[in-house]
Amino acid sequence: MTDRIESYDAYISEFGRRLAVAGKPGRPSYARRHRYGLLALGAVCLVAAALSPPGQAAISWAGELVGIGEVGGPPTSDDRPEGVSPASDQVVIANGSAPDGTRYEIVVYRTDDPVAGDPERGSTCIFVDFPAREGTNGGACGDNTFEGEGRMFPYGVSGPAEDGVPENPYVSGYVKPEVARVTVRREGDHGPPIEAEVARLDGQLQQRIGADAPIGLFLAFLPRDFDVEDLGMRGEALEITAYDPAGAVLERDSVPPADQGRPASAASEKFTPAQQKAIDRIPPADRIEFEVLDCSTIDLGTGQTDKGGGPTTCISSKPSAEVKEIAPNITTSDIFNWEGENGERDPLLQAECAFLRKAGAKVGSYCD
Amino acid sequence: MSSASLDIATLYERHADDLLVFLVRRTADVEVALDLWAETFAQALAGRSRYRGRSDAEAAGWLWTIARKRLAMYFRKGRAERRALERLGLERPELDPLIEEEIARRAGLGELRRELAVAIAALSEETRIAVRLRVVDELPYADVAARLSISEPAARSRVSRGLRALGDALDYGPTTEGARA
Repeated sequence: MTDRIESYDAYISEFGRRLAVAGKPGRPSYARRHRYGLLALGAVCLVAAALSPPGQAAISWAGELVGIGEVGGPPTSDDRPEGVSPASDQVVIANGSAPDGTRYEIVVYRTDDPVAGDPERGSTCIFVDFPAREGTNGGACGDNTFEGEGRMFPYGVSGPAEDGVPENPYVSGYVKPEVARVTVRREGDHGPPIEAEVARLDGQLQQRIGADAPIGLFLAFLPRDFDVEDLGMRGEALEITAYDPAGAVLERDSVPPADQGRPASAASEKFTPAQQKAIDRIPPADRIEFEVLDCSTIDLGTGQTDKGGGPTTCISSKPSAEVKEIAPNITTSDIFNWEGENGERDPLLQAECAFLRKAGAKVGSYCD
Repeated sequence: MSSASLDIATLYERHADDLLVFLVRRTADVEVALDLWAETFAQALAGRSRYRGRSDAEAAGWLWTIARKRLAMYFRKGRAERRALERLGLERPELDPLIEEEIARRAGLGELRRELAVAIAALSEETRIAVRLRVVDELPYADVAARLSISEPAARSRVSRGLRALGDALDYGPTTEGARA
């Protein structure tokens, strides 16, 4: 009995601790990256030219003393979050300038904190920092999530922001260490892809911070008109492709992940991106119209009336005229299955419940 | 507790236990409840900048509203979402049998299951089948409607009626939401 209670208390405490760590300011996390919506890119080649090739970066570090913010040296600012146990120095593995000239540094360090996976192992943290913009770093810590396995891990879209206005949006993430080239393309766009910069943590640098395995990282600045709302999980999707040195495709992935923050897959196939965006702009509650039906007489499809134990109010629902104008073939099911960053079914449920209440229905716990 | 100083740690300390019991009793599933519970706090953390309340009671109401929405979403989709957890890179600890047993005990899950069995048996056959197709078999409403040869709005109505009835049964327990929020 005592063991059981102690185990429970420890469980609750442990999640509380993880929650507290996740909420620390400056933590390089998925969430921080997404805090800053999106904006633009103009000069992809400028970025590509500004970054050091990964191989040269390691050689430079090994061969000479390097300065603050330089490849192989310490970062300009110490953005390690409070509470993280450092197990190595922070080291810059790439640097350069965003399209508007804002300087960035890609920084790695090792921590003893097991962010995910085996608690006996520490984690390697990699993040993109903009030293001139306080609190704009974004990245992730992990161990077997991407080390060694080399699975592509595009962890999001973000960009440094002034007063909440995002600038220089970018997408970054992890790739297999053998990846030589990464391209980023807006879903459905058939023009030339954006060439990402690829940096690598390997060799002596990897040994220096004690990472278990080499890691590749990509960074690509995005066009100004790229549409991502709120936390960066809605709007357009990006297709990311990684190639080996011979040009063969090694990995493909997308941001956001195909099953998150985007219209349901069925809707994706059924509607054009333009239709989806247009429908996304309509408040969810305005996408559907409800109508009161007479429960005592209506044929619910069974050939019988819905008497006895049935609802006090029957309603039907159909797509609103505004939505039908955009997508004539849309169905009620499509609308109820439409998914968005903020859970667009909640407003739909609220609208349904508001209508039911207005109609005098006893909505009960369904609408709590 | 002003909007500028919303303290997630304090919210967690005050509501973690009761919220978990509430979710276990509403889902009758410890694993699912823990997923919803963890996602609730993750969403609270991720969305704290949007919190506009001023008092402890408002903060509690805000938290419980998030939980209820997660629950409603779970009933609609048939699975617990993990978006905020994934965005924060947060994982809830692994559940072991000892902890599961203690959570079930605190929620009175054994008794609840017996109550649920009674409540399910009390549903009309057509409602019971609709709930099973939607909640247990996780079919989309369109498929539920097709299986039952009824319209989709009718299927939605039937399932929601069943869930309401089951929800009423789940409202009784060692602790209640109303006493906490």
